[in-house]
Amino acid sequence: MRKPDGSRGSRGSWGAWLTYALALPLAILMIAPFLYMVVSALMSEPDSLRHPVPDNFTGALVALPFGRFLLNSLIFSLAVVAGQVLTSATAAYAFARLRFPGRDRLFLAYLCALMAPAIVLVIPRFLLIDAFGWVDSYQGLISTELVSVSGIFLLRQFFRTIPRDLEDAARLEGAGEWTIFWRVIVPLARPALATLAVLAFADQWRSFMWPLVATRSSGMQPLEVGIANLEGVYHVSWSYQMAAAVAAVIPLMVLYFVAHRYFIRGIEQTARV
Amino acid sequence: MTAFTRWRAGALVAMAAGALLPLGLAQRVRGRYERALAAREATAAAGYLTIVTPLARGGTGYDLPQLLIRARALEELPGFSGRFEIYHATAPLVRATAPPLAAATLQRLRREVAVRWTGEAALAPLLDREGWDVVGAVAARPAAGIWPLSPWSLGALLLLLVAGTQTVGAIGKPRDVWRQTVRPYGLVAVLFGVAVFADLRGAAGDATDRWLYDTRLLMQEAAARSPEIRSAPAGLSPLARGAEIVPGDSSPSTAWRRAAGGVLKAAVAVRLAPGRWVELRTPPAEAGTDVWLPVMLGLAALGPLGALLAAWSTGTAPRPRRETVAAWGFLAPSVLHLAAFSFVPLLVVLYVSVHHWSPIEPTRAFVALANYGHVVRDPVVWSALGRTLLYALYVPVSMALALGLAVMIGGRRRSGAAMSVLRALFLLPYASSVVAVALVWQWMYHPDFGLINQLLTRARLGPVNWLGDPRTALGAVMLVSVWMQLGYQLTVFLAGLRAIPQPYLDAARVDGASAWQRFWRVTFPLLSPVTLFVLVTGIIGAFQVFALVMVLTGGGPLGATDVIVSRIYRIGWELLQFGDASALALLLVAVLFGATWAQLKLLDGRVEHA
Repeated sequence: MRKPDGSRGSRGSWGAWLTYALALPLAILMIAPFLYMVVSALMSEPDSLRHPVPDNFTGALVALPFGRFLLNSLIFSLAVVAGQVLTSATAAYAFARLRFPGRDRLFLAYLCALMAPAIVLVIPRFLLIDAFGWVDSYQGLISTELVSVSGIFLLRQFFRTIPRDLEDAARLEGAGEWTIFWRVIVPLARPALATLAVLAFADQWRSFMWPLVATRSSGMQPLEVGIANLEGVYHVSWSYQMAAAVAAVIPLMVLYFVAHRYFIRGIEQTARV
Repeated sequence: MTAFTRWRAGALVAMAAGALLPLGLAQRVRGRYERALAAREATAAAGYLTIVTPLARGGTGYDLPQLLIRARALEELPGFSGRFEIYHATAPLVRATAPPLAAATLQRLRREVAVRWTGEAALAPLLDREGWDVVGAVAARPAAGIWPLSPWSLGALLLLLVAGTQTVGAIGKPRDVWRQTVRPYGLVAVLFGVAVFADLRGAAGDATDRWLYDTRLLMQEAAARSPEIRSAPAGLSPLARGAEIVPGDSSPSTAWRRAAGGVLKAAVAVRLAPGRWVELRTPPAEAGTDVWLPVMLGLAALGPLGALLAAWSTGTAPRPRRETVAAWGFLAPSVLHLAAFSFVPLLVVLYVSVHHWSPIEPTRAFVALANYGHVVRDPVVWSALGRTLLYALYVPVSMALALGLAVMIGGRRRSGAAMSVLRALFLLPYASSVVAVALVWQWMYHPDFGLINQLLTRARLGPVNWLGDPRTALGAVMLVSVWMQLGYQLTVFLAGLRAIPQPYLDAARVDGASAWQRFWRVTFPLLSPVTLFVLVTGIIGAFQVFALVMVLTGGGPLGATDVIVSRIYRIGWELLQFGDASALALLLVAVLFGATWAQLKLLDGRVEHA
């Protein structure tokens, strides 16, 4: 893509400086709230709050099952990621590679499912898990999220770019579809699967509406719902609120810094639908 | 050839299953209604005996000979369908040779004072006159035996068998012959399913009617034997558990169905004395049978589906067949999940939206479009919609910013380390937790100690109560949204810019176009599909904003940030009006589809002209 381009040398460097001059302050503005969050959290008591506040940081830590929130978030996100990667990969393989009657119509039906906004599904899904007696349980929290149509699209797009030669070779040697899927497609699609896993994990970690509806007790709430309720419990302790926010953000930040190219690739892929 | 006969045999098995399973299931369900009827009959008879049996002279218990006479007289009541055994303590009264009641069972009845099942009969506790103690029990057996098929079902069954054998015989025949036989088979299967369901519904209604008639007889008997009941029909209530007794008029003797207070009731008129009528009302059992219709249809469809599968398998080459089977195997998890957790819920939400539905009220009356009327007439809903539209305006604002940045960063086509760090920083808010971000901004917007107001005070612009003032709250939320979405939009625009062929821009440069002209004449038109995508998805996302608003402001102050989704949430989970919430959610879907379609149409023209 990059071409040798002599005439732009001087102007290019000029423009680059200008770009930095404009974009850098904006970039600092973008991360300022995060810095502010960390700074506020580290001060055990906001220095601007002059009136004496008892040090309820530790008190709140004991009162709120913070570890439990974290554990719930992890269980919820990891279970959903595992389910979504598995179901998306199999379904995407069928859509991308296999020929069967009704494929296009079925794909259209999947597309319709993608179009339904979350709020319209929240009410009946709640009634459904209520009928199963799954409200406020991991089953209820996890079961509804195990399939992601956008994940299927993402992988389908990627599978279509894999050359068919390898599959055909495997087929000639008498391998079944299942063997081809596991031995040829999945190993080749590892970057795409990782992209989906990263996006799905982030999506579940910050998912709010469904956990809010599907859980009742703090023993089942993931971090996002748990710390959203915090405000009502410890309104004064901003430092604690910021500490909670930092804790909620850190896993995502780590994920982002380790795998930010997957984030970017995922966004670019979904935008190309 | 063996495979062919195997598939044929399979189709025959499917046909048998499609005929027998609905009948078997209907038999079981009918058994359930019969048991429920027996339990209610036993309760009614126990209530009757409590009212009519005189007390023993000088004692507190019932007069035993009188109880014996009353119990036996129950059998002789003309038109009475219940068949009972009545126990005083554990001794049977009606049939002296019957085995006595197990002492342990009586003990449990004493403790629980509720209807119990002993193998084949419903046992209702017989209370003493004061209703304090259990002195015996009334056992009622449900009607047993094979369910008599209605002529309709029988006819449908015969037709089904004929059409089924024809279809199985036609497997392997030419396509048009096959089509001509399989279509009638499908139709007959539907007919059969409906007929069996109609029988079931009829049986449920019949059970309700029988209970109404029997209870009426008992009520009239009770009124004839104890005159004080005539003036105070409320005394009959132990007879009619799960039903209501309301003052009524003289009416024909058959039971009827009528909506009372928005709920369908089965009712019968009871004549307690000349000129004294009451009405006995109960929820009709057939109202709960609707769920069986899809089940019956699904089971009846097994036959035609089996035949179709067999015909397809025998008529398709092995390779495509294997591929199809494999494909459905791969798709099964997601297909089943989407059916259970997306498509069924969509039907459920439609169903709920036309019912008065609240988790704390047991009655769910059909109200047609009344819920839609509620939400459309609700000014709060309209202002929430308007506010959501206003909120969505942040999308073009942040898009303009993102596009400008993208041209600045990406137009240079140098992806040095510094640039990629810049990009990563911009995407950071998008990749982080919404709730955490909302909490931080809440603190930054804090009227006294927040960072923004501290800076403003230092610049002598005075503190602003960003989230507490209805005039600024929505703007403050929009600002956070711009901050969060900027990185996402930037990433998409950068990808779009990279896809623009360099020669176009070079050609424009050679022609002497300025940077400004190059952007508007070349880059922007070529980018318009990307712009359209970002705009449409952005607006759709903006219409569904929830977590940010809920944590940042909770919809306040004074509802100034109450958007459409938070309104739906409040209607559902705070006002507990699931019917209204479902209706509004469906209206939102309609609005979103309309808006998307309009945007695509509107911008489609521009994309093509470019």
